[in-house]
Amino acid sequence: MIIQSLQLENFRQFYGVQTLGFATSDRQNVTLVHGFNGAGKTALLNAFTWCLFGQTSDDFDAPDAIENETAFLELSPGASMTVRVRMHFKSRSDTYIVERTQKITRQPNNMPLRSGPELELLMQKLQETGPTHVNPSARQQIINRILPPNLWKFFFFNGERMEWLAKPAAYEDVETGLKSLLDIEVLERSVNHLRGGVAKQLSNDLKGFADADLNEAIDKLEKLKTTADQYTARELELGKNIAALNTEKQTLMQRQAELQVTRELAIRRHGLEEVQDGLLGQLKERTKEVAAIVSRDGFLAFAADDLAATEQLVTAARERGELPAKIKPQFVQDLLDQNLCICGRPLGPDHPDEVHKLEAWRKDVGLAEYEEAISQTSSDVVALKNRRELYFSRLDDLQAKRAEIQKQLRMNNEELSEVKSKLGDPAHGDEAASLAHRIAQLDNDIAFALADEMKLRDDISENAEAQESVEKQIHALKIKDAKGELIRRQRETVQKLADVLQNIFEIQREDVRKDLNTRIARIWGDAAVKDYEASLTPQFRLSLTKRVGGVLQEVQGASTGEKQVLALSFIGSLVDKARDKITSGGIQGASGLPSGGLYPLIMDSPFGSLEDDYRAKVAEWIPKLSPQVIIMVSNSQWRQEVENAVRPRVGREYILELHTAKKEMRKSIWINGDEFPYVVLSPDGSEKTVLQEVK
Amino acid sequence: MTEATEKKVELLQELSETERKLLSAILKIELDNLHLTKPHVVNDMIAAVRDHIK
Repeated sequence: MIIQSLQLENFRQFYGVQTLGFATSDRQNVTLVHGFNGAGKTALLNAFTWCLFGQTSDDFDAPDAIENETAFLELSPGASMTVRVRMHFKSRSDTYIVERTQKITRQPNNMPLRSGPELELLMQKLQETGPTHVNPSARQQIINRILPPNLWKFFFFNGERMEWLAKPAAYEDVETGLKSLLDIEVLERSVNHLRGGVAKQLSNDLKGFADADLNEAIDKLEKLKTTADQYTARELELGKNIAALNTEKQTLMQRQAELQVTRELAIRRHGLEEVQDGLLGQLKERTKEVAAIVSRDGFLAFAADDLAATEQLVTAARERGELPAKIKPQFVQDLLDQNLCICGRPLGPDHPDEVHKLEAWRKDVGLAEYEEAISQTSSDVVALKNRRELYFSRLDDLQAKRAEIQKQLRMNNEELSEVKSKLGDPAHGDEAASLAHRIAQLDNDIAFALADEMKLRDDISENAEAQESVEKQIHALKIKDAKGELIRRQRETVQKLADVLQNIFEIQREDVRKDLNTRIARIWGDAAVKDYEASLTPQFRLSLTKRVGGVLQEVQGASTGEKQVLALSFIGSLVDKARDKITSGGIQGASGLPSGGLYPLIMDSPFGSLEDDYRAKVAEWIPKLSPQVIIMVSNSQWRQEVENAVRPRVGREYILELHTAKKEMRKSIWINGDEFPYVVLSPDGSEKTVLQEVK
Repeated sequence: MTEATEKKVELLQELSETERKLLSAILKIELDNLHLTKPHVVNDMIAAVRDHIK
């Protein structure tokens, strides 16, 4: 999706009809829109989403009142006006014109009466003569296919609020968005339909041909499935709850760090928590090492008696003279075969006594296999005894390390508890005390919720085993009727296909996550100031980690700016992946499903709350994130380092010229050495914004 | 071919020709209805199952 132009008619600050054209070239892909506070940057951002989906962002005040106030006040009572946003864009080889309108009538009491909105869509296929109207019922569907509605917040966003993506509660949005964008949603939905409605219908059909046993098994299975659905819903709810609790906790902790009276303690707590995480990580590593050693050599701990008994056997054999054998059996056999005495004289019928003696020796000499086995056992016993000693020594070493870590953990915990208690000291004031109290409550709630989650996972696992067992029972029961047998076969095929799709979904999901992980790490690495690593966890949470003592641990209390850069890295990786996918296809592509696409990035104030260290770097890589970038900035955000980085990529540039009645508000803006009006005095006293293109 | 693609191909190869055709039909139904507000996915899928497994 590459946007060619956007036309606004009486939409919020934009009076009358005003049009913006956007940069679409490869080298100059950035469209820059300058605007004073209140000039309509957020309104412009929301014009895109309102046009496409009839939706606006959470920070868009009074979302229903989209009409321009001046235009409305010009209406005489009973008269109507139209608010319209029209967008012209290209997607793959087709071009589209989307238009959303809303009729506003001024009622006799001067209040607005709003109807609609209505959606119009013109579509032109490549090489066709002209645009064609799309059937009303299919319009939104076509737009949703080009840009799934749950994805727009990844591409059209307020840069100052985008750190929400890096919050624990965002994992669901992140995962859902990824599934939509990368075409794996269709797999998951197919599985749900097959295992849900389709399987249920076929089970009901089968009951018509079933005996009592089969009916009972089918009923049992349905009950188990219903319970499983309840478990899944509960698991989802618990996950959301835990994420929300963590988000609230982080926000409150941030507030503690902002309060003058608790700042120092909050920083101390932050340091102690980092130490605690590091120690817990080290303890986990050592415990894993202990488990590995015990699993490999643990049997040696109980082998002392066996090793001693074996040694005794070998010693006894030696004492009896069985070991080592005095004469090797092969030597005696060779003498007999060659008819030679041990002294070299020939043997024969003349020397029956010597022959007899040799034959007797052959019986008496030790058995080669026996000797070899004993010799091998003897050396094995030595090796095992050494290994046993090494095992105990390594185990002692690791246990000592674990004990040391545990000791440090105890000390750290004691200090942490003390700091937490001080944070809640009423002497610090009501707000500090209430923050500490609430954080302690949240800690408890999180612990309980995690315990519930663990228990629920056990229940889910048991339920799955029970379902499998009943399925086997259904498969084994006899059905006399051929029609019933056919339904059972259909039902089992559905189940088999659902399992295959589920497996493909899991593989695809993990593949996508790993791929995005690599891209996020690369993009983050370009901008990161600190030695943190960015990743997408298996739970689809954006995470910042760092290495402490060789162990990776999550960064606690990352700054807003860092979270914004992390969120931008994720969005950039998403756009990058979607762009790659459109060219590479993949297994879904091969099966006829569409893959990936080009997406624009439309950002309001992306540099607003970034620290100095990040601003220049982010400005440098934002134009590279997507084939089309539209940036809205205020003059204060458009700093020299941002200008230097972005300017070479700017293809179109606009000023949202704010017309105001306040005389003292007049301002101008300097662009490329020229001065332009920025805030001007409105001659008729009306507040409005006029788009001016900078040529 | 990536490891993930190999695994997916292996899974598909374990299916019979009929099962593969049914799978394609199911995915097509799902895709056609992905963004519809009133989908008839389940009924369409059952019809496809009956059509393929006779």
